[in-house]
Amino acid sequence: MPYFNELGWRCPNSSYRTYSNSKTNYYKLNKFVNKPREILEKSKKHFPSLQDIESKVFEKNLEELRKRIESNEDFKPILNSKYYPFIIPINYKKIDIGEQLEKELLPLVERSFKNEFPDCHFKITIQNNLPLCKKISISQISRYEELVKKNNKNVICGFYFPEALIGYDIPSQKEQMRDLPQFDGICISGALDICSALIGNPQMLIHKETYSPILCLTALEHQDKRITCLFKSYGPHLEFWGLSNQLLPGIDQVSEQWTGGLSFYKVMSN
Amino acid sequence: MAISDSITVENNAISEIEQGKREYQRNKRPRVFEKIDNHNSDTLNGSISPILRLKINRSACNMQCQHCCEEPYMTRDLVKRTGKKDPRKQMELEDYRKLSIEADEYGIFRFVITGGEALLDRNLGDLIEVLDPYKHLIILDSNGWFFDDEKAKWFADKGGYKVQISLDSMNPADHDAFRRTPGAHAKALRAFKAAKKAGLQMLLSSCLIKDRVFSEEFEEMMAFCAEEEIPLYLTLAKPVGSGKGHDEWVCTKKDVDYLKFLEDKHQIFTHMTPSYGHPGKCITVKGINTVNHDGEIMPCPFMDMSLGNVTKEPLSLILDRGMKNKWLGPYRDECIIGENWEFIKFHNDKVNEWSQDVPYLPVPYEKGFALTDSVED
Ligand code: SF4
Repeated sequence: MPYFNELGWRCPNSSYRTYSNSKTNYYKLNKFVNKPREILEKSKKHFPSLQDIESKVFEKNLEELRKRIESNEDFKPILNSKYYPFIIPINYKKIDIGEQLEKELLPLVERSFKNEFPDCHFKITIQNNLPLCKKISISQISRYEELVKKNNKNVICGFYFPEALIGYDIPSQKEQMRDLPQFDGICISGALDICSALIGNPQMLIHKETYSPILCLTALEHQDKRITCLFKSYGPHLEFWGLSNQLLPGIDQVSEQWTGGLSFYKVMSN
Repeated sequence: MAISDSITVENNAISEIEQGKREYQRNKRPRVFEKIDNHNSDTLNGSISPILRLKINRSACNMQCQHCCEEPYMTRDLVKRTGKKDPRKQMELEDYRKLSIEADEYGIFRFVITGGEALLDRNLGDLIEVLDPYKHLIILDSNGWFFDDEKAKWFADKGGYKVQISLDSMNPADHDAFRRTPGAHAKALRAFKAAKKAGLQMLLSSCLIKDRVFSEEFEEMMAFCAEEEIPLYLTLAKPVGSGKGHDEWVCTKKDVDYLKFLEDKHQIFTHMTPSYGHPGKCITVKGINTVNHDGEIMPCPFMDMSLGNVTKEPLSLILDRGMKNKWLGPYRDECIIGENWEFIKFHNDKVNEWSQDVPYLPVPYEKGFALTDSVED
């Protein structure tokens, strides 16, 4: 049994809870994915420490990573789904992840989005009305901790695959790092990677003809386990929510629209 | 943007009870506020507190609107088609009393009374009483024809909370033609004045057809609402009911997106506008459920398929069943009856199949929604 189908969607099995047994095609990401050169330009605008990175170096690193995925039979089909290159500057400060999200990453996503869509809003709503500082931790089974550790000393580049786990409920999204084969530089998507991907592609969730998937930051765990952090569009607008993941009391949300992502990454080399 | 600047659950819940009147209402209807507070704190658990929209008096109406989805439920239509009125047992006051108690236990705090034209019902006063306007907010849908000063005062004295008056165009000739009732526009304007004088909350309810959102007339309507301080509530024409076959009326995502853009600038909203700290999404079961004259519960005002009959089963069981239905419970942003053609086909096929043998809607649970998957499957 392959791990991913021909659309790059993680094949479900009986231990996972999914909305359906096949990948939905109703919710669509924006048709355009910016070229690496443009992504780097946009990222430099918001992460000044990336100023000295040359486009050809970024592209070379991405190409190396892409080839590594392509040569891995287990992961190769994931390249058939839409994916977004990203670049994350070194994170020297090692601040609390909730604080980093609230005070640094979300304002940058907002700036990048508003640059592109000046008349639209970027709104944040947390359903328990509390700030995110000191409320967020990293899911132990997400392998996201390794990305954070590497990022403390290095610039990271990679690809975010938003639709790899579309339709999976949150617990089943989290389980993936236990079940998927090893790969040097893979994790369940979280804040640094998704926010960086959105900074490089602020149009990702904006679609004129249809609705787009809802991007869960599954590698992050809120202190209140009923809350999941996510990005969604609202018409022409972009929103960040700390939203209940409960369908009914005691029953997890399982939605055709909610998606968990996988991120593949590497340390940038010259 | 700091999180403290953003929408909070409390702010939105409280906006339902207009800011200036908050303390007055809290004293007048403490149980309503208790339920709102409970809903706010339970919302993360996945608890819901939907509006129950009661269709009364066999949907009798004095108008004949072109876009009305109620026509197939009306006696005048049934008599034309079958020679007689709906023979099914209709909800009685005792059924509504029981429903009010069950709704209260479930944490529901809003009833919308609708028709047809609800004010045609001579028993409306008794109905408001059994629903208990101090435990629930009682909201009245009206085309405004009968809602003069006297009626507005009567409704307020009965404990009514809000009136939702329909106005489909600022152009009197267009509104009257749409409603096939000369003078309808003038009566609706009179109704707003009457509601204001009686101290009732109110909103202007207007049907949006394709491209109207971009029109000068719609701008005029927004300006009127701003000047009169009336919130503007918009319903979007759907390809069902009388709208079936009128694809030229159905709003596209372009219309809907522009509306979402305008929401930031004007006091306008649809039932999908983010509120109560919930994102803008389809609100089947979670937002508004319609109770038909015979007790059948429909998960959306535009659907002709039932989740069960509240005179035969507990309300809580019916709502839980709806939340577990794969089409209705799980999160989705789009309006499934207006935009999701897979669902629209399923819905219209089931309605057509049922209507071949039986002239009465809605399609019972066993013949419709029971045939779709549940999240527990
Ligand atoms: S299907 Fe459409 S009209 Fe019905 S509740 Fe959902 S959004 Fe509203």
